[in-house]
Amino acid sequence: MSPYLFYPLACLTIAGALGVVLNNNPVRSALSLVATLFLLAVYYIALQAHLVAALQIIVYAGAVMVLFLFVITLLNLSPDPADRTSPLFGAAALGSALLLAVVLGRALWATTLPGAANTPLPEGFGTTVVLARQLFSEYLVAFELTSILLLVAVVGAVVLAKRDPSPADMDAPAPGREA
Amino acid sequence: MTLPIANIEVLYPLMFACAWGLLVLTVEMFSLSRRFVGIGWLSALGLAAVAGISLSGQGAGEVFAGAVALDAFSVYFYVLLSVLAIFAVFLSMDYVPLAGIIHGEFYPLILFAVAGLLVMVSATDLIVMFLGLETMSMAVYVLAGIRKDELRSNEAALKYFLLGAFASALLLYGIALIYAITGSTVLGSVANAIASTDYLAADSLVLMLGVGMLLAGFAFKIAAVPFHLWTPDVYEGAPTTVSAFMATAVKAGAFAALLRIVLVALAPVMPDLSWLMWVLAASTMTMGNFVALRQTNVKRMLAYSSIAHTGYLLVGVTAATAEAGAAVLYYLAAYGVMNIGAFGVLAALTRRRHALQEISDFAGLGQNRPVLALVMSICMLSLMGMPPLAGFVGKFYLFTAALEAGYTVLVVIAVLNSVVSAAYYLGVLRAMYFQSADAEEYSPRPYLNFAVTAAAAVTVALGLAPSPVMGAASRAFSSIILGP
Repeated sequence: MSPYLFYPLACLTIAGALGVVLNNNPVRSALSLVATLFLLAVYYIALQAHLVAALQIIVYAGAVMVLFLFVITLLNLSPDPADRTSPLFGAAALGSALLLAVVLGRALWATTLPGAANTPLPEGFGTTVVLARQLFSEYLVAFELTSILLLVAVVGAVVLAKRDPSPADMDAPAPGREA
Repeated sequence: MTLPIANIEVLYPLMFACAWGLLVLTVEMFSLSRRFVGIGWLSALGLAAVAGISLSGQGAGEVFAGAVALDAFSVYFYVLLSVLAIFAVFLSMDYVPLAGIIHGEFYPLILFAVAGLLVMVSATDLIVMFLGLETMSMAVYVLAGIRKDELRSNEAALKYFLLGAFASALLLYGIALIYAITGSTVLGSVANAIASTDYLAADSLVLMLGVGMLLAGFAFKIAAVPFHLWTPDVYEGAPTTVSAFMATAVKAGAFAALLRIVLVALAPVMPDLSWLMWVLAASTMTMGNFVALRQTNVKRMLAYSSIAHTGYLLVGVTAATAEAGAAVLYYLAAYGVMNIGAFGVLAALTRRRHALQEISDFAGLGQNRPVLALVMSICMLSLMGMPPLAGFVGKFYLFTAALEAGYTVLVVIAVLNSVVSAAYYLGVLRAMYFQSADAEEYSPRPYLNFAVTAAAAVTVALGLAPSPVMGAASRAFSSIILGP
């Protein structure tokens, strides 16, 4: 990726990410997140990972974000005056974020990542066929586990979200429960 | 193209646990009773089968696609986790209706949490380990908050979820950084790649950052200081049997994964990081014990005691010898059963949907409910480290191994801590036997009584005859050290 393309894009991505955190309006936050995720997809394209880029746009920037916006509009959030965090907390958060940025930046600056130099990509890199073969051979266990993970998340979400029957609706108190 | 199904029997215990979770989830939908006792029995049966399958399918060093190994270490933890989960299920069979939990998904979620734990302890790949951790966490977040009408339960779930998600992000970032340097997520390859680099040089700072983040993520899961702040609130707010599950099985699973990472993937770096483990161990046990002294709520006290025990276990991880590793494995089993007993007694004292949790609620228990009081005494004395109970034997093995590895100061700190801990453990005994209160009417709680009595019996047995478990523990531990 040419540096003339990379640095402007990187600045835009960071601006998008800051927009997510700093916006008071949740809808604007979510839209900034869409922009950030979209811009991330550009890096994947530059790294020859076209399928991942497409999935990033379809799944994250598309489906997940639509869901986010739906939930935000359904909840009809309004700023809670009791919810103001103290400036001390904000300063501490900013301080630790900056510290992390400095440490990570310093470390990455000093490190030459192995394989980063212009090594030729393997045949068919980033194509659907190669990715699928990897997914269903080398990463089969991880792939199947992800489905269990998602299933648990769905079951959990249903348990927590569904309306409980009121005590009157329930059958007579079970024998073990002293009322 | 060939699928790596050459030795798929490695995955049988895992596949069975997941399938049984699905089965119980389906059967539960048709459950007529709101007490879910049958579902509990079904879950316990499945867990027992998991233990049986892993014992019979033991093939040392067999790895499926570089992702999961069914070595002696995995088998040890498969059996330990199944047993602890069976205890938790038996406790729950009375506790679920008592606490007013009306969601039959309770038991399937425990099974899925166990499945996640099984993946964690047997994973030989960081990504697979992370997925196991997340599966387990996801189930436990929900279990912690399953009493939706209880504010404390909501608080526990939310706190655990937010902080846990943050810890997972740290862990994942650490894995990404380690992958960036070593080019692999397989534990053995990571170790080889690290060994061939000059990891202390300035240009390997990224690797050390990755290691730090990975350790921080795990420190959260095992509740080590300074990542322990969630523990008391979550243990207090979660349903008591879920707290029992978290304090025993979840902690054992997280420690197993930590051991695999520290002693396999990070083995080349650890000699330079033993000071970090030293500091973690010393601060965790001291902090846990001294804050526990001030607690009047027994559930919170047990939470701080579990933090202190994380510290003792970290002494073994610091020493990192074969004896210390085996001692950690034994201690996880001993600590597991005695904590099941202690939390179980708390669950048994549930009345009108509310657990009696204050130390004053234990007054007169010695007269009114002598069996429960005896169980509680055994568990408290064992947690304290009184011979000849399991807790004493575990501490003895741990501290001797650490002494032999040359960590004299750390062992002195640990022993002093054990002395301090006597004060709060004995406080419960004093309330039970030297204070009196009127007898309360209790409904019969056969499963709870059975489970806590069994836990106390195992605590005594593990203390009197430690050699079978200790032998299995040392075989298990050497299988990851000598393994590929």
